[in-house]
Amino acid sequence: MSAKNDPRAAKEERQVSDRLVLAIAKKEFMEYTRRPWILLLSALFVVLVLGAGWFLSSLPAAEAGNIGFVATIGTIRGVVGLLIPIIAIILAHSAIAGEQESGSLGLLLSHPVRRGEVVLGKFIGLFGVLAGSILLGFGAGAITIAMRADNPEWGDFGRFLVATLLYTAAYLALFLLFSAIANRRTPALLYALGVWAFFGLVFETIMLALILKFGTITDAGVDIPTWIQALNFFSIPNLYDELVVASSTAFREMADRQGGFGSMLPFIGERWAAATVTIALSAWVVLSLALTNLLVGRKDV
Amino acid sequence: MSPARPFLALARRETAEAAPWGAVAALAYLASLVAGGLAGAGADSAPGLGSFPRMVGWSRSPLALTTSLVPALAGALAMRDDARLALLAAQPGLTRARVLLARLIARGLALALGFAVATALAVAAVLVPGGALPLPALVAYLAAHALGILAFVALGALLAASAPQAPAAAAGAFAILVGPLWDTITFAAAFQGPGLEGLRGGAVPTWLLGMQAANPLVAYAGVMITVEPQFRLALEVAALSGPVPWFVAWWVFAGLLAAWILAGVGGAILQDARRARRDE
Repeated sequence: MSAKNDPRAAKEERQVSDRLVLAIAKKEFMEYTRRPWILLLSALFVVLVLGAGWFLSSLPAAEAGNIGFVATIGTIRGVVGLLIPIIAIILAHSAIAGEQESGSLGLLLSHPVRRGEVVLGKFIGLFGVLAGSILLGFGAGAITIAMRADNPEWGDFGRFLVATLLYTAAYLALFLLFSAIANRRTPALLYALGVWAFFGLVFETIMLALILKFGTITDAGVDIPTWIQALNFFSIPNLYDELVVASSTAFREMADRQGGFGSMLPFIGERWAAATVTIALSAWVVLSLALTNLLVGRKDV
Repeated sequence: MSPARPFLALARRETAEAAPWGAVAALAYLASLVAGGLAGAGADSAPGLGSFPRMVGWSRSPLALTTSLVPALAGALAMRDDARLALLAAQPGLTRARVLLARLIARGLALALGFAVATALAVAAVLVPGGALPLPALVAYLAAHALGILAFVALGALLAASAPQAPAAAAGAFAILVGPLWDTITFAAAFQGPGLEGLRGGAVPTWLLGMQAANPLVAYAGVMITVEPQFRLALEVAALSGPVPWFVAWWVFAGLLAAWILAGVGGAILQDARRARRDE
C-alpha cells in the first residue's frame, strides 16, 4: 500500500521529511556560525543598540524623551532597516548559487532528499543565523536599557522584534530566490544588490515622484490616493516601516513627533493595519520560497 | 611582445566582464540623485530639480552607502582565488599580481563609468529646467566619487585577501562599520563631550575631526563638503562655520583617499602573494 493511502506511512514520511529539513537547516546554521566574519556581523547589532543607548543618554532629557525602548528604537529603526538587507545579501546570495558553482548542490541532491526540503532547510538555517544575531544584539541592548529606564516598554520592544524578524525573513527569502535564479555567486550578488538598490532607492524615488504629482497637501498632512498607498505592498522596507508604526501606539506617536507621514496605508485603517501588513510580509516569504522551490526543481545539476 | 600588451588585453577583457557592476552602480547612483533632487524640490518652492549642489546635498546618505558598499563588494570578489586566476597567471607576460591588478582596475573603471552615466543624466535633469551647475561643486563631487570608488574597491580587495573564506561578509561588514555604525558611535562620543548644543554651535573638538578623517567614507565626504557648502549636512554646516584645523581641507582628504587606494591595492596583492607562496 502506498504512503498516500496509508495514514501511518504518510505520517512517517512527513517525519522523515521534517528531519531532513532540520538536518539541512542545522548544516547551514553551523557552516555560517563557524565563520568569524559572520560573528562580527552579529556583534554589529550589539554595538549599534548599545551605541544608540549611549547616544540617547547624552542628549538633553527634553530631546531624548524617555530613554527607554521606544526612544532607542526611534534612533536605530532606520539603520536596522538598512543593515538587515545588507547582511541578508551577504548570507543568502551564495546559498544556492555558490553550492551550484562548487558542485556541492548536485552532491546534496543526489541523496534521497526533495528539492523543496533543501530550499526550506537552507532558509531555516540562514534565518536562524540572522535571527540569532538580531536577538543576541537587541537582547544585550535591551538589558542595558531596561536597567536605566524608569518604565521599560517590553511590549513595544517585543512587537518591534517580531516586525524585524518578519522583515528579515522576507528579505532572506527574496535573496534566496535570486540565488536560485543565478548559477554563480557573482551574478547572484549583483542581482541581490540590484534588488536592494531597487527597494531602498528606486522604489522610494518612484513613490516620492507619484506623491508629489498626484498627492494633495492639506493642513492635516498629505492626502495620497489609495492606488499609490496600495503600491506600498510591493516594497518590503515600506511594509516593515508600516508594521513598526502600526504595531504600537507609542511608535505611532513617535513617528508623528519625528515629522513623518505616519501610516503609509491609511486606507486600511488603524485597526487592521498590523494584521494586513503582517499577512503581506508573510506572503513575500511564502511566494519567494515557492518560486525558489520551483526554480531549484528545474535546475539541471 | 611588450610586457604591457598582455596586461592591457587582460584589463580590456576584465572591464567588459565587470560591466554588470557598472550597471548596478549606475542604477544605485541615479536613484540616489533623483530621490535627492525630488526631495530637495519638494522641500522648497524652487522650480524643477533646482541646483546640482542641492540635489547632491539631499542625496548624501544613499550616495555614501553606494560608494562604500558596492565598490567594496566588487573589490572583494575580484580577489577570488579561482581556476581562472591560476590559468591567466600562467600565461606569458602575466603574473597573479598583474591579473589581480587588472581585475581591480577593471572593476574600478566599470563602477566609475556607471557613476558617470548616472551623474550625466542627473546633470541633464538639473540643466534642462534651467537649474544651476557651479563648476567647483561639480569638480569636487566628481573627484570625491572617483577617489571614493577606487579607495573602496582597494579596501574591499585588502579585506578579501585577509579573509579569503568570507570575502563578501568582510567587505559588507566593513561598509556597515564605516557607514551607519561609525555615525552612531562618533555622534554618541561627540555628544558626551560638547553635547548637542555645543555641536550645533560649531564647537567640534579637534580629536573628533582627526578621528573622523581616519574613516575613508568621511574623507570621501570631506572632499565635497570643504568645497561646496550646499553639500553639507546640518551638523557639518555648524562644524565648518568657524575656524577649523589645517587638516580640514579638500586636498588632505583627497590625499588620504589616494593613500587608502595605494595601501589597499598594495596590501591585497602582497597578502595574495604570501598566501600563494604558503599554498605551494
